Amino acid sequence: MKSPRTIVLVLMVAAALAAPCLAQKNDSRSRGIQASYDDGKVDGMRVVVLRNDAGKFIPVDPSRQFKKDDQIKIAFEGNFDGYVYIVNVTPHGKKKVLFPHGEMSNNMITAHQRYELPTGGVMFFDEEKGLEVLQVIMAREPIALYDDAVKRSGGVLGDSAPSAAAELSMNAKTGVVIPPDKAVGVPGVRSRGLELAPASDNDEKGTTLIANPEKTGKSTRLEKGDVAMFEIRLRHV
Amino acid sequence: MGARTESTKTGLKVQVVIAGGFCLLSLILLSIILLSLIPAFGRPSQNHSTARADARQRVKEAISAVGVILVRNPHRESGQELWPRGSGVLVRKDGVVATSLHVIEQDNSDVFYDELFFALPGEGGGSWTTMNRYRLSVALTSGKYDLALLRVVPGDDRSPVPSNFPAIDVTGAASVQVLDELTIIGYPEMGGATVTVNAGIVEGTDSDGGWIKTDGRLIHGNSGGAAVNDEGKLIGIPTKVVLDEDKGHPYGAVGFLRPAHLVAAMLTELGESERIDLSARKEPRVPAPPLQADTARVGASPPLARLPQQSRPSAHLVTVRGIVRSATDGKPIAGVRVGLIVAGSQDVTETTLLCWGGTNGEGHFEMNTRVPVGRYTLKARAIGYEVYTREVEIGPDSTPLLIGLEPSS
Repeated sequence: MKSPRTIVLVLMVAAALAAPCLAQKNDSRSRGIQASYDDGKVDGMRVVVLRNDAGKFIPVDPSRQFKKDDQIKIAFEGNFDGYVYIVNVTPHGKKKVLFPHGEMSNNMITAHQRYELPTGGVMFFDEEKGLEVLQVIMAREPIALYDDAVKRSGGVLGDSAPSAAAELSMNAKTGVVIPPDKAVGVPGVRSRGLELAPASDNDEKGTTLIANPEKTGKSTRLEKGDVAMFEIRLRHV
Repeated sequence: MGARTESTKTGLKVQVVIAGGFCLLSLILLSIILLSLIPAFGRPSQNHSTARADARQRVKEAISAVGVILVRNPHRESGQELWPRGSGVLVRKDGVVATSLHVIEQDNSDVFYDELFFALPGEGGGSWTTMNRYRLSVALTSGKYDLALLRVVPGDDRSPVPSNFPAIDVTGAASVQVLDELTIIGYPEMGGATVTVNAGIVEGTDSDGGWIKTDGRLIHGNSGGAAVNDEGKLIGIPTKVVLDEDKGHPYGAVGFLRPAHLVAAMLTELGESERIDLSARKEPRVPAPPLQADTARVGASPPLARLPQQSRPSAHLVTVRGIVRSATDGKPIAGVRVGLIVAGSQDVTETTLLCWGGTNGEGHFEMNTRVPVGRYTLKARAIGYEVYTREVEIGPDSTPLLIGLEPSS
């Protein structure tokens, strides 16, 4: 059985801000992030990538190389009541909302409750080799673009002209803009920076990520319309 | 001392104040004479008339690409003789004709006429009864936009198929503005057997609905023809008229054109299916039944199930690919939606979106459909980054596009 190892997460949002965060090895800073998460001053998540090893799912380093038929799960918990989406970007650039999906149509999460995805199943690596990206998105309110994709096309994004046009119509300042006839959910989504405290070996809590109020100058909590996103990059050889 | 005169013109009162004094009048006259002697002041009007003449010439050239769609049902009791059903316009030099779908459908049904022909004026114009005439097959249709692409095919008709038709440029809709002048070209019934041309303006656009509105006169037989700008480029296909009337008394009408970029998108789709068809030729093929159409919705994935009956080489279609990176640190960005829309368009809708792709973890993308060489508006969008918009020239060498996204503030 392999030992749990440090989980390295690459931030998607505000990469310029993320770079120094990734380089952050300072224990005191990590403790600060953990403390901010625990006392609920900021919204955040703890994320662990689990791999099936002889029938048991154990935490693994996402930077390892995965092979065809490897089975994984994503475990996470948040310290806020809100919504979480997981979007897969394949090595060929196809996008699909993995969560919510099918029976897991409700993606509302409750603070300090652990979730494992997919519920009652696993994600596995198919024949398509390359870099698999899992984008984890947290938000205070539902994101219409993703909910719409789940309802209309089983979560696949960009499979049709209306779907691609809806994605391209998003506006960074005013948020996700869905054509009026397709409007569901929130009127706008803004992105937030994140800070990260990497997990140490055998840390079942996984990596802690918190919204980054110092960098953005915004409030310490995800506000209505805010979205924070990070990526888990899995190498499939 | 001054004098005041008043005059009226079509109800509008115009006041002209004449400043008195012989000296002042003399000075004005002298100035006019001197200005007229300076060559530079003579140029604008000369240039203007030259430009007008050039524009007229380009529109005249566009006329040669517009013809008549003739139909008949030779094996039925009625309709055995050829008769003009509407207009059509050549949009590809190898003989692809755009028209309205309803022109080739019988009695508002989805059944095509048994035989379709295209009568094209020669050098001197003339009547459709004496024009060159070519057999057509249906290549691609769009029920949503009431458009069809027809292909000239070798047949038993009277005119040999030339290798180079006078095709029209289909990029005229990209720069359309309200009040732009346009020219309607077609073969309306009321105009007899020869071409009829009239002028109008753009009264408005409806990008969501896929319409350009015009006051240009559209009557029966104009459907499927051409509306061109002063460069002779296709703006749209005359499709319908909405008449405002009360108890038979007409108050006015609005003409509706299908924007030319919809035709361009269909041409792209047609080119894709032809490319597939050419590669499929390596394997034995089952002959297609005559006059069966390949149907597809504009903007959707190419229809692979039923390939065109005839094949032609693709015309400068390019696969668009590239890479998206952060403008601040150069790192590749995954999950970015990238698309090409009609040049000059502001809004991204399923109507204006021509092709699209998404970046993988390395930031690489490849569009889902090949596009003709030309000018487009490039859009890219990802959560956490500013919207990216740039005008791009897609060349035949398919150079990868480089996109830098700025993090959103």
